[in-house]
Amino acid sequence: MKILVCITHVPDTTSKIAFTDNNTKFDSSGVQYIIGPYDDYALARAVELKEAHGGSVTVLNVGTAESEPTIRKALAIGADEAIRVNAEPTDSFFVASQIAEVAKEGYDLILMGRESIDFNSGVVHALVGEMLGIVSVSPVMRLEVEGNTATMDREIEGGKQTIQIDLPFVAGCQEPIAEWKIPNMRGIMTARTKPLNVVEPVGGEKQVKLVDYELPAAKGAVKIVAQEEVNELVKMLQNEAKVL
Amino acid sequence: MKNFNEEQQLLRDALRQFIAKEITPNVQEWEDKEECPKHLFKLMGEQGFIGANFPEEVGGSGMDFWASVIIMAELSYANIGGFTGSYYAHSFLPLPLLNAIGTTEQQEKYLRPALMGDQIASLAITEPEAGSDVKGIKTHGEDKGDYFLLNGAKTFITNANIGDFMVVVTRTGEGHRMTLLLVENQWEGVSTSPIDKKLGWHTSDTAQVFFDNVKVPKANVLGEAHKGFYYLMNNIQEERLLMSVMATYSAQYAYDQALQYVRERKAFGGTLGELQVIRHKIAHMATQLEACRAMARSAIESFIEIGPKATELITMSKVFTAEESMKIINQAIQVHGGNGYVETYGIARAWRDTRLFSIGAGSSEIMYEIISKFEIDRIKHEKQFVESRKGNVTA
Repeated sequence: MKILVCITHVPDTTSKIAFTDNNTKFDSSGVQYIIGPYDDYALARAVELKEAHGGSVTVLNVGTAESEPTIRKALAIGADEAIRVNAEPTDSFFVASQIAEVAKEGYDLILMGRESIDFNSGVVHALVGEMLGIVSVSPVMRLEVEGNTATMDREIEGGKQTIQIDLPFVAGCQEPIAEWKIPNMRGIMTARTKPLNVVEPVGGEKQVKLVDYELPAAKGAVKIVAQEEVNELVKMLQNEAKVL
Repeated sequence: MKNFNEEQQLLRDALRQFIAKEITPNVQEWEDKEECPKHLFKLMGEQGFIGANFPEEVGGSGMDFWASVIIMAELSYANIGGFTGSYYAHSFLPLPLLNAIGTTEQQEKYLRPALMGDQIASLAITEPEAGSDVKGIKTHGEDKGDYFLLNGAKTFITNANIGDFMVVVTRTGEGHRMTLLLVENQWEGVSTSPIDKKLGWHTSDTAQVFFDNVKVPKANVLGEAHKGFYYLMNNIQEERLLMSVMATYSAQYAYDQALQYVRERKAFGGTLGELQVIRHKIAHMATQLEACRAMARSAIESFIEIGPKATELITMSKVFTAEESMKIINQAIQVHGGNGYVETYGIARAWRDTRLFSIGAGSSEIMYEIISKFEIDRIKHEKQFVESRKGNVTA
């Protein structure tokens, strides 16, 4: 089974977010980068499937050379080889176009996180499915493969839906599809020896123009209202918070 | 501490992930129970985090000494001094001896499972009447032909209650004639008793050990008989160096906590960090910490270059970081005020766990004695030391 796992190179979830150049650029100074947490779930499940059924796992990242430590970590976790499309991941359509181009080589499974945690568009898996003319499912919480058929649980409003699909397909993954894997020493020592191929991007025009960034409003002070003062709480919600 | 290469960065990140998942959420519970989380040895062994710098042929990962430094730094920064001490007493006291002078059979039987975390090991040196004075050891091994008959007692032995085997420093003659014996904890005549109510290191296991007519086969002599003292002295440089790393990164943890606290804590109409008296305290702590890091880094580089011959620099690093880290953490408590005195903020734990560093692996007084011999009496290794010191200045 040939599995392609698409990973993002994103700021650590504990990063302090700031912008430069009149709020048009993300300030990456001092920021630690990680594999997108949802992508990390996808990668962990891909490695488990490979261990159970054989085959190979290829990780794909659309990014600059700065992504390479993140890609090496994916190799240390258990991927066999990596491909980096040498381009800034500007918008979802562009990224999906690059993934679709690589995926044309033929993969049984194309896994990725249900969304990245920087721009959180959550549409790349659907775009890739459309571009390749295959099914795309998200968010997938469980994934089993038997022969040419996959059984999966997909989160839906208020519950989950169990579905079966024939390979190949695209899946946007989330917990609890697998537990994140921590690279072991063997993986760390072999990561450097695994192939990391850099390819140039193809077409895929930008569909989005970035105007500027804005931080959410700072949280106000917490006011504690005693249980017996419900009327006071209602007044505050009406007059101060203006949400009623 | 240095610019790490790709593998070293991956190791550091993997350790941080491991610590965040397996250790940090549980530390307070283990502390409260004063319990050594023995299962962590197995988890760390499976990850390859024990013996990362041991050769692959004996079950290690083949990285360089920096791997050990990274592991000790990250564990120390996690503020779990007790388990960090247990891990250290397993990984860097008996196991390097087995790696350096063990037979293939001994390495297969003891070292390989210990690196996997399947067995836990101790190094038994200290006795009720012999600690820093190793030559005063009385635990006796009588040569009975094909075995040694072992009798005596040891104390303050880390991991001996929960452990599977130990390397026992045994008197087999006069003066420096000592032999290292591999003794299994379950053998007849071996018994242990926990030492409780310690000031710190609550998540480590500490024992008294008693040997009553224990038959130790000659196959379990580690290295050559009667040369144990010299093997120990060779190994102790790595042990002291890594304790220096532990001290430095325990202080780094406390400093970072203090820094965050003074930035956030409101007092006198602003933050603590706006008050000059606090600002200068933080500046002083930062300076002390940088000196610890620089001293430790210099000793590490020298050790990598010339090995245990870097004795004086390692000794200086050990005593300096042990003493300075305690001062830094003491000040971290001070800036936390009452919050530093309670368990919730973690600084109190760092303080009591760090107190050991000026006692363990040779007290500060012994360290100064060694340094004075180099400086005043100009004992051997001087040439190598001077060369290594020059090298570091140039670097």
